[in-house]
Amino acid sequence: MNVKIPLLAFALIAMVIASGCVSEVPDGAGPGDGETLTDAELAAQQQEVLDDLDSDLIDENEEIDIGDLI
Amino acid sequence: MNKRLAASLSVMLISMLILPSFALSQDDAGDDVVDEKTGEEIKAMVTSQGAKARMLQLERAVSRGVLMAQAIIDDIEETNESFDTADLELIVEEMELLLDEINSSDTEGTTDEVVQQFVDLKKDGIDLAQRFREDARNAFGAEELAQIRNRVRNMTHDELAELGERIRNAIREHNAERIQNALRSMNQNRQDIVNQVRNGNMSKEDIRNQIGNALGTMSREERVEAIRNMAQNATQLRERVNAAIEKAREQYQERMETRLEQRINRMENITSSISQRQSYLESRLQNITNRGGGTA
Repeated sequence: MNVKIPLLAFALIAMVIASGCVSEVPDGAGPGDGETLTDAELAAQQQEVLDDLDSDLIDENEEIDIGDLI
Repeated sequence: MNKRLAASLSVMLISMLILPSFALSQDDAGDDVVDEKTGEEIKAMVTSQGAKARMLQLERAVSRGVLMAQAIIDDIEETNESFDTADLELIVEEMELLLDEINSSDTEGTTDEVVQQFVDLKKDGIDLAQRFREDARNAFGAEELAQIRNRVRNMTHDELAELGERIRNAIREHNAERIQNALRSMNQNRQDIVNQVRNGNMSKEDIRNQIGNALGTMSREERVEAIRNMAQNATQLRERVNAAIEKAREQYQERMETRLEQRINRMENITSSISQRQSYLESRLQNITNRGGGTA
């Protein structure tokens, strides 16, 4: 019985902290929203768009291979 | 004894159930007309220059295949006089018909159309190379094959140099166009970068570094906006490419049958044209023989 009271108090505090955190995020914010991006996330997205661009380009030394004949 | 019999029967039953499904899954994997490498190659076919570059690269691959196959046949005829090369020659003839089809392909169509053409013709090239390889490997032992391979391996093909130049130009135009689009998404007017790509002064790695540096000089807000635009463009392109690949996978078998029928017709036309020429030459020879006792 005595143990339940601190547990309830802890759960209540955790809920208050969690609701406070959520309310700080602006409505409609998502991973693509610049205002919520950290520097690390932005750097990761930059790498991703550079990778995409890279895969659209053709290397001059690239060859199409239809397989060996012998 | 009964236990052993039961165990043997179980193994047989399991084999009967598993082996066909294994064979089926292997066929399925082998039958995918758009393998991973082809999928990567198709990504560049969203510009007309990219489509042109890929089709020219395919033309070079098949041209090289024809030259190599002819060299292998010549080598076999020289070193193994008893071997009948008729089947190998038929495969080379079909490769030549394929080459004509690649030459006359249209790279100015929609993404769906050019991707479908590329997928079909590349798969035909792969299948023909495989048939040639299997025929040659069935006919010769490992040692003989290694000797033939060594003799034809270092062949240089001067005929392909001009094709190489056209491929290079198409690649540079395609890359310049893609970079121009990326810079537009970034609200950057850097014609100097575009020109360097167009002139072939930048490798893929250089391009990546230049775009990365350009992003690095922007304010955080501009950079976020630029990356978002680039990501949106990339998503749209990916969707276009994926849709084109899916379309190319549909009704592949029917298209292949149509192509083979067309090749048979063309082969018949070639044969009838050859027999016409043969008759013409025979009648000329007959006339000359009748006129002057065999001297022209």
